[in-house]
Parts: sequence; structure tokens; C-alpha cells
Amino acid sequence: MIKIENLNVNYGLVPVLRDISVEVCKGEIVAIVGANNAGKSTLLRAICGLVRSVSGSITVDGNELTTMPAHEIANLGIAMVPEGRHVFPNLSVEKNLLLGGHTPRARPYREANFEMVYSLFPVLKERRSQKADTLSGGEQQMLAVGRGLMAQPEFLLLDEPSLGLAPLLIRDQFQLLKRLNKQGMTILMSEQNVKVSLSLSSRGYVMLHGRIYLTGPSQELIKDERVTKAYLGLTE
Amino acid sequence: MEISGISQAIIQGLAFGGVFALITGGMTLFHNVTNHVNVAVGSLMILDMYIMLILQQALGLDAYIVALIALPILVLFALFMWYVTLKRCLHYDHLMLFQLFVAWILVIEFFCVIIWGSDFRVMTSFIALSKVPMGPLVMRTTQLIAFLVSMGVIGVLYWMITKTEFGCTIRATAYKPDIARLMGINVDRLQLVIFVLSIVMVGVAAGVLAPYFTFSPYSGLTLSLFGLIILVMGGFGSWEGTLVASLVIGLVYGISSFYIPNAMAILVPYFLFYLVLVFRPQGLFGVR
Repeated sequence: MIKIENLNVNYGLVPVLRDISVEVCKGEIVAIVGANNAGKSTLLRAICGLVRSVSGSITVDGNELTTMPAHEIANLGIAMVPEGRHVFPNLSVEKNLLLGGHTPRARPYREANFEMVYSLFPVLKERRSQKADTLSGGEQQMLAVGRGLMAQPEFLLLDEPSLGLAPLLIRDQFQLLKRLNKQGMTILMSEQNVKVSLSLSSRGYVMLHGRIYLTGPSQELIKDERVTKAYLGLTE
Repeated sequence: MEISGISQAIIQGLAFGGVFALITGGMTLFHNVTNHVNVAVGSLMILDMYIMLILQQALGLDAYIVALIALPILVLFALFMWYVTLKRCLHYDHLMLFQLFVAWILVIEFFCVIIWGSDFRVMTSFIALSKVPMGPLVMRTTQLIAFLVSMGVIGVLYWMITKTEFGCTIRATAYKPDIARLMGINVDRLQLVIFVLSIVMVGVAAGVLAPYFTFSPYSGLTLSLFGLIILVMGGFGSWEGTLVASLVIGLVYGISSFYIPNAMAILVPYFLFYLVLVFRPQGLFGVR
């Protein structure tokens, strides 16, 4: 499981995450929701080792991540689908996926994972020799998710997976996440789209100004008025 | 006579351009993974030639053989540069790194002047005077070797970058280092590996150029500046652009030094550079 305790992160001297404590157990789908600038992305980036914490701890199955370089964290089975997709534009679809399985942990399963990703997203197989920047936004998101799956992850982190996608594509993607979860994948995602993400997840955290403002089962949060207030900045 | 003379100049220019392609290819790789420009390459090249010279004087071996011995010594020096300064400074902005490299240029220049003086030097090789007939033309064997070796190394590197997984990690890092890290790529180690690779290319360039090149401690800066304008002309980070711009600059320099005195000829590539900046500021193969 991922266990975050009293995490503090600064950008320069400005605190962006304050006293964050989050837990993600195996087999769960956990959603982190909140308005822009609430610190959701920073939290996910901190787990991946892309930003460093001032204090607090992040452990995954007993490994302390706060001092571990990002490429070693990737090798622990934590795959990240970054905000804005960030597929490698000059590389072919196939090479993007190849790099997804670059870690020593994922290498032995590469062939099988290629099969798996191509069967999940047949369109990627069709376009495997095309450069990634020639794909449509929806296809790029598929590639980003596929690249994450190539890493043979135990934890799949998604940063704003619905950003810039048409409603139909969002629905497809969330159905896919549900399916992956049923097969045993643990998922942690950050979303501005509260309704969709809370209806998919089992538990949720609501972030506000770099803190965890509310937490609980998603079914309860979805009805909670304070969630809407947190979005609109109507809190004290 | 006139026609064969100009053809001769073209061949010379291409050989020179090939050597430039080697050092600018290394600069491009380094720029890809660090976003910085190693402007000290020219001085490192001259340092390598002086190492070759001292080895030749001590051992009495041919220039091409001492080039092979000098290469690991140059790499050791580059590692010293890396661990003493570069490694700690890569996260600073471009100007800081530029100053750092300029500092290294000065250190290397002064070092060479103190040890070897500021006179021009030449090396000796058993094929220094031999020539290869090519149809109606003759080509100096040393220049032919320089051109073939450069193109060979560039070819192998191009294959490596476009076809291998290692090449993919370089291109991924060039796009965004953080996203590359998410793939499990050890970017810090990759930067060191690429730095050493670029230095090896400098060593090879020095090795093939030294047998027919007259050099002084101050030649390094000229070579570095040529490297810099080639990089900008080709479009930063573009492999194809760097190769084409190297050959163009080599050719232009070769032809102009045939028609006009050397001190003026050296200005012609800069004029071409100016034209590129005015009419195609993103470089020949640059995007944006």
C-alpha cells in the first residue's frame, strides 16, 4: 500500500502541500479531487519522486520514497500517467510503449504487455509505427495509459486523466480503469471532474489550498455539500 | 588547373566539415540530454592534440597510433571536469553553464601555453604526404581518412539514436527529463554517459584532424565558435541539421580559403551564419 504521512512540499519558499496524509490500499480506486491549484498534481509528483518533500514520509510496501530517485521509484511498480499526457512526440507509438516497459521490473513481461496494451487499444496497434504527435488527443491519452501499463505496475497513478477529452472518451477511459481495477490494479487519480471520478472510486480525498479538506467513501462525498463549497472557494 | 584547384578545395572543405560533424554531433547529443551547450569542445580537441604531440615526442609513434592512446587520457580529463564542476552545475541556467565552459576554455588554453608555448605545431604521420588519386583529382590520404572516419562514426551514432532503445532514452530525455524519469530512465547517469560519448567524439575528431592540421593553444576557440554557429545553423538539437550545417560550413570555408587569404576566409562562414539568422532564424532543420 501507499502510505503518505504528514507530507509537506514547498516550491521555493511557498508551501504547496501541508500536512498531507493519504493511504491507498491494494485493490482500491482512490480519487483526489479539488479545484485548480489545490495541490493534487504536486501530490502525485511527490509520490513519483519528481518533487521533493520538506518533511513527512511516503512509503510503498515499506520502502521510503522521499529520498529515492524517480527512476528507482518507477521500478517499484508505480506508473504515472502524467497530466497533459506527455507522450514522447518524436517517437513512434511502439517506441513510446517500449520505453514504458524500460524498467528492469517490467522488461521480462514486455512481450506480454505489448499484447495486452494492443488488445486494450486496437487503434494503437494500427498506428504503432506512426509518430506520437500525429495521434489525436484521445489516442494520445490511450498511449499514455498504455505506456503506464507497460511498466507492469502495481499502482497506476493518473493525473487529470479526463483533461481535454470529449465526454464519450472520458466514459470509455473510466470504464477501462474500472476493468483494470477488477483485474487487481490499484489506482490513484487526481481529478477536477468530481462527479465522474467519485462515482468510479471507492474512496476520495478533497484537497483545498494544499491540505486534505475532506475524506471518506466516495458515495458519501458525492452527496456532501462541502465538496461543492470547496470548489467554489466558499469555505472559511 | 583552375577547375581541379576548386575541386580540391571542395574535397578539403568536405573533409573539414566531416570533422566538424563529429564535434557538433557530440555537442548536439549533450544538448539533447542536458539542454546546455558545451562550448569547450574546441579547446578539448586542441588539448587532445597536445597530448598526442607529447606522446609522439616521447614514444616516436605515428599520429594515428598516439591518437588511440590520447583518447582515454582525454576522457579522464573530461571526467575530472565532470566531477569537479559540471555535475554540480547542470541545473543552473544556460548563462551560468556557458561561463563555466568559457572558464574551462581559458584553463585549457593557459595550461597548453604554459606547458607547450604558443607556437604553431604539427604532427608527423607516415601518410602525411601521401595522396590518393580519385579520377582526375588527388586527395590527401589524411583528409580521406578524416572524412571516412567521421562519416562512419556519424552513421553508427545515427543508427544508435534512431534504432536502439538507448537512442530512445536519449530522445525521451531530450523531450522532457522528468517524463523520462517516470519511465525509469536514470537521467543523471545518462547525462554522464552522453558527456563521455561526446568527448570520445571530440577525441576521434582530434585524432583524424591532427595529422594534417597546424594548431596552437588558441585554435580551440576558433573551432568552438565554428561548432556553435553550426549548431545554431542546423537548428538546435537536430541531427540532420547539424550534419548538413557541418558540411556546408566546411565547404564554404574550404572554397573561400581557396579564393581569399585565410584571415578573411574565416569570416565567410560567419557571413553565411548571419544570412541564416536573418532568413531562417530557427535554423536549417529547426522547428518553431
